[in-house]
Amino acid sequence: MATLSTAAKNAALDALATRLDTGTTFGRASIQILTSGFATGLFFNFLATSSPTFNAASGGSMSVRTLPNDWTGASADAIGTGVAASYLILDGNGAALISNATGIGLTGSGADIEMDNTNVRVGQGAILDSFELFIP
Amino acid sequence: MIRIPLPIRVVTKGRITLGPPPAQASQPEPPEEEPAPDTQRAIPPPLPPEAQPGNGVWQR
Repeated sequence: MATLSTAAKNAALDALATRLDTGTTFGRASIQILTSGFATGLFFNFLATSSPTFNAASGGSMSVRTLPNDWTGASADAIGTGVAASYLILDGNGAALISNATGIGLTGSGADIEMDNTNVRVGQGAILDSFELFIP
Repeated sequence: MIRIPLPIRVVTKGRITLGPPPAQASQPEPPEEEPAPDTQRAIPPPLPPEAQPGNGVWQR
């Protein structure tokens, strides 16, 4: 297996960030938190307040420029009750470019996205404390 | 053709804190109690003067 230099990782991440922010439906990348297996029970949809969503990649890592707000539903709160288990990262047109059907876990679980509580109740709000993409 | 596999694997790392659970829907307040009906007999309004006893108008 070939190896990527840090410069190459940064270039790949910057290209991915540009691709994620492309589209007219949302205008920029968004992060959806759903029930197991991307079922229809959407809980949260995080959208950055402005584009570009991500900072320029550095050291093979890329973090969001401004932490997205939860904008699911009219009240910006969860629109379903259940257990959060999967996530999608969508481009500006709402097409999923990155996904993990089992990527949500409790704090300390090592899951891609950790939550202090995965049991979500309808109407409950959420804060995205941190988010980054990186190439190991 | 030579194909070289590149180790491009994007890893996501995020953290989400849930807000407080939504408040329970408030119970509807019980309707205010209706005042107890006045059990005393209502006092009729005074009669007009011509209707007072002794003031009647007689006609042939």
